[in-house]
Amino acid sequence: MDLIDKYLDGVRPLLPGDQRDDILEELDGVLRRRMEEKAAELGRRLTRKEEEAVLSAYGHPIMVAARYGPQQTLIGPEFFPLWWLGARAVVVIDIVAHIAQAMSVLVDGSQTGHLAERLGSIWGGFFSFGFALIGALTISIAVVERFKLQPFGTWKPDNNPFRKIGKAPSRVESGAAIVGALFGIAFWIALPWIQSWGPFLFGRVIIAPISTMQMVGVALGPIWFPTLWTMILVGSLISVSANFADLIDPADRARPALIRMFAALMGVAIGLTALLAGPLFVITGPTSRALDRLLELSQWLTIGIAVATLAHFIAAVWYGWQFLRLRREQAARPAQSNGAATG
Amino acid sequence: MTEPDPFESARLELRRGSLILAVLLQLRRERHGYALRKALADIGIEIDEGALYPMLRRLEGQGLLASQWREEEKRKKRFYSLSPLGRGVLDRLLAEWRALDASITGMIEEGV
Repeated sequence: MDLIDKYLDGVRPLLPGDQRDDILEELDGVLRRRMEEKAAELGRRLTRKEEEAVLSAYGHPIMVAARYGPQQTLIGPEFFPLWWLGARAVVVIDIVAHIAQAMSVLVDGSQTGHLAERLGSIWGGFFSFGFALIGALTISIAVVERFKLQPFGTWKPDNNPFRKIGKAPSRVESGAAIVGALFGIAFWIALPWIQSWGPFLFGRVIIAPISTMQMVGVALGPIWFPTLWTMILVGSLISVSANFADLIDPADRARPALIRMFAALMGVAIGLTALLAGPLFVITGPTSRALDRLLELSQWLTIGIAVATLAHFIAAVWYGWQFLRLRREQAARPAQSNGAATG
Repeated sequence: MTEPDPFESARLELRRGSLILAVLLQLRRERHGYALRKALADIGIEIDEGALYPMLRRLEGQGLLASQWREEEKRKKRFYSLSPLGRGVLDRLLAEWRALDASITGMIEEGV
């Protein structure tokens, strides 16, 4: 077996089956001709090293075979910018989530174990969490591209969020939002006192079956009631008051934006409180396995809360910017109409 | 990370689009891969063999080329030529090319 045969043996397995022999025969011809040309150039037979150099110059067998495969990309040029934007957002979310987790470890003195070890275990998940998110992003965009879905629908000028800033929702939209929110608020107020649900959430008797068949009591931590419960209630009331403002004076767009900014800031406060002010769960029948499960759950929940907190912060900035812009516009309007009247 | 040379990126982009057209034009006459590469090189279009042969296979897979093995100078070679479908596609591509050429030339002459 000469070097060319060995080279072609490296190419063979990765070639498309129906054309394999045909392509190999053609490649064999190309490579033998190249060697003959080189030998003619040198005026002698090639040494083994020179033959190797000719084959190396043609490319690694895997790369050569890959060129004959179907031309497919997971994310094509059309969607690559979207993927790249998403990937950068994922990195930011990953960093923020892990910083938040690390801060909660630093502040929370109730947890046991060496601080460095706990911080290490948190940052140990940085890459796995990031890669999992990027994997999910890649698959989602690949599905969109493969099935030619339209993730943003058909573009319409009125759907532009920047153009919606000064547009009031209809009375039906505001009414429906208020009714839905009031139902939610009523449920939230009643929750601690509902006989069957109250203890489930606030009565410290959640029973979680562990794979050891041992029943272990897991309850929400004391931070939930009354602190978080009250904050969530206040945040919901602020939020629904923005819908009332929409309904009462649809022409005034600045006021609802201001109220929504406060609601979003309340969301940030709730998130930070949840992250920093104490354990979200307490365990009532600890076993090492149950504790592991709990810590795992708590870590994922912390990441989720950190992401939600970041989202609320962005929303607060967005509504704050809307408020300032709309207030400026509303202030400029009477001046303009006065100018028109006098001019 | 070094930024790619903008001229080089644009040149490659321009070349990539024209390469298929050049190959189809050259294969109005039957040629084997090596002869095709030489013919292209003679008119100033260099293409690496590692890229040319897979391209020929792809064009054949799309039905634009037909091929057959034949012996020439005591060696078996695969000869490629335009298929009837390839001729039709080439005509349409040439029309596109001429329209583009006219537009670009027009712009150059107008000094736009």
